[in-house]
Amino acid sequence: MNQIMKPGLMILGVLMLLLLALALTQLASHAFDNALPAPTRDARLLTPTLKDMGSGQAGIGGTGALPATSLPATLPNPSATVLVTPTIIFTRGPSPTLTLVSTPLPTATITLTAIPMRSPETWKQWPVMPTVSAEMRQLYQQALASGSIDINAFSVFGDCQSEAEAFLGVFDTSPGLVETMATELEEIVAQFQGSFSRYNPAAKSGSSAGSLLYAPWNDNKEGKCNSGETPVDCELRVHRPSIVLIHTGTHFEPEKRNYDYLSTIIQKVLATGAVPVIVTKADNLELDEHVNRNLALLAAQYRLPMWNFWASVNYLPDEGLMPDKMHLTQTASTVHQLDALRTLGLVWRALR
Amino acid sequence: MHSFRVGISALYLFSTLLLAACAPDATPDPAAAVQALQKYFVALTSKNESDYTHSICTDWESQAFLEFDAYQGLELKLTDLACRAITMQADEAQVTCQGKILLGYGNENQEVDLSRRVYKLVSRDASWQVCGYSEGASATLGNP
Repeated sequence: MNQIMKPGLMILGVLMLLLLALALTQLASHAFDNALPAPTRDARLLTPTLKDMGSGQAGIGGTGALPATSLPATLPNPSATVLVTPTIIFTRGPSPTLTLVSTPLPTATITLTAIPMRSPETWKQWPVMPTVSAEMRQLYQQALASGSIDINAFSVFGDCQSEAEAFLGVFDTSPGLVETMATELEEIVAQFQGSFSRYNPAAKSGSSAGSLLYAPWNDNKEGKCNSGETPVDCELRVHRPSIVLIHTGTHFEPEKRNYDYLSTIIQKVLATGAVPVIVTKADNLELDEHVNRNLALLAAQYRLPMWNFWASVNYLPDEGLMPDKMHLTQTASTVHQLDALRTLGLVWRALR
Repeated sequence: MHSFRVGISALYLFSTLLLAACAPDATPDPAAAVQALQKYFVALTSKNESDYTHSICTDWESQAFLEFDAYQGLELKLTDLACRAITMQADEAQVTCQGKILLGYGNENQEVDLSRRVYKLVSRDASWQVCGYSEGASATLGNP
């Protein structure tokens, strides 16, 4: 019997020891895991500070120049009709250069020296009316040649103050009013007739920069947008504007996300060959002016024309704002409309 | 011999008890996942960025904050919220809710019908977080 039982007992004993060892191992593993600190979220990227920008002191990036901007090598093609997808590569250095690479024509690579940039920190002193860079002119001409944009179309991305009824629709709907305007303004109305009063999913009450990139925010009132298409993507695809006024910011996000959303919107517009025109806002609901600061920074970084609407109305009583510090007074609204028309005309003529 | 058997039995029982104690829960609690989703909605509609951040998965943050930021200019109200888990695994759950998020801006009102969404939650370190959702056809905000 001992010959049978002994090996059997030994096997059983070994099995029991193995089980015990396994149990102890699991117990030790749990104890170790519990001893580790709880995972923390990654720290958010620090918002670039503009305090030392343009002053010669070391700021973000270390040389006093604008922070290095890392952009994707190619921008997404938002529409099947786009024949040219410009690739915009920014380099930082003593002489910032902007390289525009057009595909599928690689021989069209042109390297330009950018115009000297104004410091975004001093955006309040920037002129009201925009200037147009050679880069934007070239982008526009290439897009026209490819047919990716409509020379007679423009769009506005923004909130209730950008909607046609409150903003520019009158120039389509009131020919009598247009006839009383100066000839050069009449010419602009004629050039872009139809764009002033049309429905635009990217001009909607309550919009922030983020909401224009959020597909469920798209009302799609005319049914022309694809399922899951953001307001920005739909408007760019359907209307093919040659100029886009980026006029958002009254409803705002924290500075870093606001910057990221605006940057995304700008890149989407540039990808179609259209020229984004940055528009500062009259209000300061965020209290620290980070929206206008971001807008100026982006205008400088991307070499974009900027209509300094803040400067358009800042001299008016109460800075052109109603007691809610958000909506424009009647006088400011009139300035808003006329300066928008002037901006369109100035940019359009400079791009031709 | 008898004492040897008792010893082996005790060791076996001890090992079994240890294994049973250390094994993960075989039946996750759906109530915890449902509660986590409800907290997410409260954080979203009260615009509490800190609570919202803690209620969502890190790899879903960029999309989650698009919705959070889209509503910044609006008045939000959560109504008739009632959620239930439709699938439940050890560390993953799908939860759906009845109810709406009302979005107000001046005289304009829109709503988000929550019944059209199925939310995915993942359990990490014994806490549930929202990692995204799938939505029925026509993902637009509705007019009440």
